[in-house]
Amino acid sequence: MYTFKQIKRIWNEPVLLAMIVLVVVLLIVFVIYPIAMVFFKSLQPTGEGFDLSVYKALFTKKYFRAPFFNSLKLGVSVASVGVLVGYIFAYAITRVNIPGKVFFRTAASFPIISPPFVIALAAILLFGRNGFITHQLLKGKLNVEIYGFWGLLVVETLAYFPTAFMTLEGILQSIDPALEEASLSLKASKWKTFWRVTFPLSMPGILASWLLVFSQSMADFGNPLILSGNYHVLSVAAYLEITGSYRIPYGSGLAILLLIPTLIAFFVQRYWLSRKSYITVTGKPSAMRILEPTKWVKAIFTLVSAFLVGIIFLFYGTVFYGSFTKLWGVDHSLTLDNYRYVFDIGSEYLKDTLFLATIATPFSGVLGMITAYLVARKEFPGRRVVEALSLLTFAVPGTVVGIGYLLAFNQRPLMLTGTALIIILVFVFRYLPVGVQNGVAALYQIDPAIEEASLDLGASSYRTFWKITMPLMMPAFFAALFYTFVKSMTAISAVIFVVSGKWQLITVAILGSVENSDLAQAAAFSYVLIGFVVIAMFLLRWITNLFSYQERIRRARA
Amino acid sequence: MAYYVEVRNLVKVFKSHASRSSTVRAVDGISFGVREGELITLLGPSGCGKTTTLRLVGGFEIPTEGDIFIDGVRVNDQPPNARPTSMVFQSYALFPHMTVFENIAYGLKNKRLPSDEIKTKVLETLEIVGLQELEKRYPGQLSGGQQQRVALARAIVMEPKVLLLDEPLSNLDAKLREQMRVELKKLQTRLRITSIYVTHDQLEAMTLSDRVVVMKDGKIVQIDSPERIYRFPTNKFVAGFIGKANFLKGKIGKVWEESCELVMTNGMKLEADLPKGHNFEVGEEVLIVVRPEGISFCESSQAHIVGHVISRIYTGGAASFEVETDQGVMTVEVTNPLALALPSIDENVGLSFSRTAVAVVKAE
Repeated sequence: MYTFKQIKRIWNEPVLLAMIVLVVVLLIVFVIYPIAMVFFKSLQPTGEGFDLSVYKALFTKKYFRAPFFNSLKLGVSVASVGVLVGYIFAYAITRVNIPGKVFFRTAASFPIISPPFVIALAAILLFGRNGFITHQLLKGKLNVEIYGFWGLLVVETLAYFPTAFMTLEGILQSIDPALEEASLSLKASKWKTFWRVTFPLSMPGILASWLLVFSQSMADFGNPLILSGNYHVLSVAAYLEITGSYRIPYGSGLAILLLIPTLIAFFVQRYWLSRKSYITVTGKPSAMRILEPTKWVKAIFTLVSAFLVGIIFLFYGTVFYGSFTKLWGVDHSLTLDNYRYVFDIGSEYLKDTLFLATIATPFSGVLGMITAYLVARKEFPGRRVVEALSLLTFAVPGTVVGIGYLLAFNQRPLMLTGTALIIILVFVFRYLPVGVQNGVAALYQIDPAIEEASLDLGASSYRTFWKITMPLMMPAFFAALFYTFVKSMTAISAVIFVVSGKWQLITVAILGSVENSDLAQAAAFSYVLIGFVVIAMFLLRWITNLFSYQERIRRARA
Repeated sequence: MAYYVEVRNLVKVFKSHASRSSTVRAVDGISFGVREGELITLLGPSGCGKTTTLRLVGGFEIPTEGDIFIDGVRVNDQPPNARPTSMVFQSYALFPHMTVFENIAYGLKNKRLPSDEIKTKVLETLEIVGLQELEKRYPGQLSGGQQQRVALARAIVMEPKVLLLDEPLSNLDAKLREQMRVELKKLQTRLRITSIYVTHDQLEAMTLSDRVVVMKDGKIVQIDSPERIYRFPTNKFVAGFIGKANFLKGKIGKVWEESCELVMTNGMKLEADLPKGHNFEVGEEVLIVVRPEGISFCESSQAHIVGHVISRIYTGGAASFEVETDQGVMTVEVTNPLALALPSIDENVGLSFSRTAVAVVKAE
């Protein structure tokens, strides 16, 4: 009865109805259908009829079994080390008041916005066969094997600890320092206060970030592709099955094995852990009061943070330096040849990548905002399902998405293989969840009464959205645009399955250079890419200031 | 007389937050009407369903059952933007990205009025609420009281058939609230907009309304003018919720059409007024409601009840006493206390009740 009334209401607002239908259809076609296709193909080893022989093979043959357990082992290790590092870093910044907080925080965000395999590239430049440290400094006296588990552990930890750091920073900030002060006034030592008050209160954040980093490591494709050596992981194994051996059912099966743990991690994190949290993260962080720690504690935390940031700088600096060398490991004389190559031969890659990312970004942003609005503000049957679907690609590893698009859109009526559109679609729907999440978060901060007031004053739902909601969501919208643009520019795991001769991407070019051992060239490509990202960042800040109402109010005050 | 706004057997059921299967009847079959130009308040403790009722009238919630009529038209299926209502929100809900002028003009723009007419109306309304010269400010630059006025101006500029006010003064501090209460009263006397006003503050309800609808647990307990609600509460809840009250056990000795004789447990008798059409019967057990401000100290021989003083609080314009009697502790309020010789703590006193301060409700 109630549902019926909801439908009746929506029926009276045709624009709203159209938006709901549009979002639902798009999510079904471009999110559900490709993933379903992967599952479907894994049950069809011979192309017709269904059976489980693929999965039987995956669990009995050692060649197939290894990647699954390798991925799990790597994921668990990276998550554990990454969270530990992230926690120490977050604690240093929020609770120890180390000097240079802004600097440390900025440095920690490098790995998030840079192309996914720059760190792996740096690792090869430093520790590879012609590595600067292994070859030049140690002259091969110490045998470091960078290809394999240990190399991946170091590289992925560096790449993904910032995720843990950001989550934990938020959690630690929202713990009221008064609780720690209360503990101290009740005669607990600082050490005891940490273990009995601060640590238990941050536990939900620790578990959440562990699961996040675990998923990221499981889904990582760029780093293992160039660094895994004989240590096969699921994402790369699935890729090689499909593009190397053309065994689509087996590749699909491996992708499904990759999908299951990441989906579990995602849903546990989202629907179970989020309810366990002691603190509402949405609230304002309490005023930053810091109990001044002893000189020694401060010195230790500063040193540890400096060491960590030092490694980040070493890695990124090495790639930067490498981009100006003639032939890494052999001839380190400086040259601009690599950049000349990038802007000459590589200019096609640059143009294509920029073009595709620029097209995809606004679509993803607008669709994300519309979805967020519907989910957070409108009552309609299946609202929760739409929300879950829109966030799903967040949890689905790029490899699975890529295989899905490859399988789903190679026949009529959706014959998209080889077109620019398929790449754009991958970008739009893969980065949609961030827009949805940002939008929903922004909406939850806007008093719903503000929109009700607009309706009450005679505006339609549609007009309310454009006049009231959209301007208030602008900051979230631009943040989503930035994220989508950066991620599209640096994407590899999903798009590698759908790129064609016609449309090429910088990331693919970098991989090509690495495979040809043209490390200096790869480094130059990487830095050009980083340059684009930095320009986008400044552009975004400028546009945000131009359009944000807070900025207008600030100017009106002045 | 036909009502301008009429609510019939309205029910609103929400899904409970605690468990999926259970439901909450926030509004449980209420009916009332508002005459044209009248201001009525929905008064009750939090969770009584008053705000939900208002939101149902405004179109922000869909009724589970029942009907809402405005000016003879059933509006159940009209969305808020189609209803002839304007709402003043508890949080004001001012658009933070628009200036005061833009906020007030917003609704008129939705009506597609020509821009010079919009300008005239907005400036007129700004004058009505006393906010001239602030039209270029953003809400973030205004004080709480000013924001409140903008919210009000934004609603009345629409010349709604019905103005809905959801605890509009609850976010103001005590002093400003009092001031705005008086201003709202003046404004309502002047503009005579048919209004429904939600509040949990009985003083606000008493000051502003033509009639008060007292609600509890999703149901209406009493609808009456402020004077009659105070004078003739229909049950113990209303008597206790509106104003202060002492409750004494007693019995009806005699009844007449509009009054009765009460017999207290100590055998003392007193007369009390009753509303016309009451249904009290001789011998019935009742609760006697005695308002603290209608009790005076006297000799024991002339007293309705005797006791001794256990506390005394002096607040300037009034003094309040607690007197322990064999019926429990009673509160006594004396105005202009400096003019009287008042008892001190532990003193034995007699209390006498003025007839207008006594009401009778059914024993529960």
